[in-house]
Amino acid sequence: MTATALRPLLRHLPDARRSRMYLVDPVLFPYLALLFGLPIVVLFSCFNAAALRRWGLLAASLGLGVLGWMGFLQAVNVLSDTAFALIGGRAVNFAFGIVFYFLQRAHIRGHAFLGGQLVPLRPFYIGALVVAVFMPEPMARVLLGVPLG
Amino acid sequence: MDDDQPTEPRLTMLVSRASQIRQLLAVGQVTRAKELAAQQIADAPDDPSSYLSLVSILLREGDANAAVAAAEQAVRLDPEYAVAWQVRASALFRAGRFAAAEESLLEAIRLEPDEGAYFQLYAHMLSFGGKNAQALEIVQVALELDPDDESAHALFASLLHQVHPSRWRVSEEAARRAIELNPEDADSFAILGVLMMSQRKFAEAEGHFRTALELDPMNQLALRGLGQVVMAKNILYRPFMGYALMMERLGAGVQFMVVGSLWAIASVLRAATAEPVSTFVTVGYLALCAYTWFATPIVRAILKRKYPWI
Repeated sequence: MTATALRPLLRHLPDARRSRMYLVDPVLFPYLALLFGLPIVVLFSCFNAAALRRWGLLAASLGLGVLGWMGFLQAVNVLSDTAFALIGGRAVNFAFGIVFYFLQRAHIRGHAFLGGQLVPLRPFYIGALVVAVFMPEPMARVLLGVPLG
Repeated sequence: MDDDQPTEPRLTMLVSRASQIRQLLAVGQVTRAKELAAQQIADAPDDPSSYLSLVSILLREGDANAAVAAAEQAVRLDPEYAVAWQVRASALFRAGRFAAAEESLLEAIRLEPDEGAYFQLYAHMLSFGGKNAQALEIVQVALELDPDDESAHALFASLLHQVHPSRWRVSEEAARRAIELNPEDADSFAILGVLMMSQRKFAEAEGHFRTALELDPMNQLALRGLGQVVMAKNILYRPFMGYALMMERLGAGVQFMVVGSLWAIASVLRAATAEPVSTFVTVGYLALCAYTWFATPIVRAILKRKYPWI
């Protein structure tokens, strides 16, 4: 390999920005999408984007959220049995949660690189689990994105 | 005599001052180093190396943006000075401007294509950006240019182990070569320890981690590795440690796939079974899911609890 053969490889790595606020680690997004559905993930994703003053990322989060919700409804409609419909819907949510993770990973890594703080993982994980266990079923369905009625 | 060229006594004075600044920084005398750097800039405002001393001080103080400004001044004074581009790259990287840092380093490499240290720094940058395979290629160039650079051997060993774990013999040779070149380098011992641990040679791994800690008591890689070795020796912890280490190595993408697949299996099992079996399935799934997702922080938490010195 010669020096002239070298091409920039980090061109797509966004510049790091640090927020003064605690941000949500995107590794939690697929988990939250599975437990509660996409709306809460979109909310956290938009919060992270706004805190980092990344308006493009915020718009992308909203757009992806709408796409995910449409995907969820599609999956629920395809399956007639309620239990299996919810399984299918949650699978779509989980898949979109992974997309959200990859969307935010570089930005949050940059925030952490500059010494920014992240919400602690374990308390958040356990707290989310407790909330999911005790949440009333109708509220859980609304959060999942099931249309009312 | 050309007025722009520093005279020999003046050059000697500047070099001696730069060396003094480095020594002061090494012993933590940042304020005194800053005074000397200011004096150096006042004495030789057209010499780019005057600004480079200031860059290292500003980086030490954590003021990366000011360091970038000082490095840019050095580059403006002599755009053909490769060291200035390299220092600018380091400052930009510390400021989180990764793409600009890469461009600056590539310019340094273009100006001085035979300098192995630039390739090594570039490999570090690429590795940070998640481009380990490309970083491996770059560090190989660094090794071709300077086969006796121990840190290049250590970096090569570490990257090769991450990119091609099956080529552990080559990684081990590189780590041993790094130690041979500099037996005082704690990182090389720690990397060799990690390689031994991946081969389940726990006793050897422990020895290397302990040597690394004797050389550098705060070496994070060695501390974590030693804790893991000690735990892996315990028959109760071993399967958990093995699983956690595997998940840590495979990365987030595979973890998501594991969690998703487990969830699909658990959902089908729950639908096919009645209480209380379905509850056990749910609890088992959540426990495995948590351990897969949070393998690294959970292992660290267990280690800290069991071995407070970590």
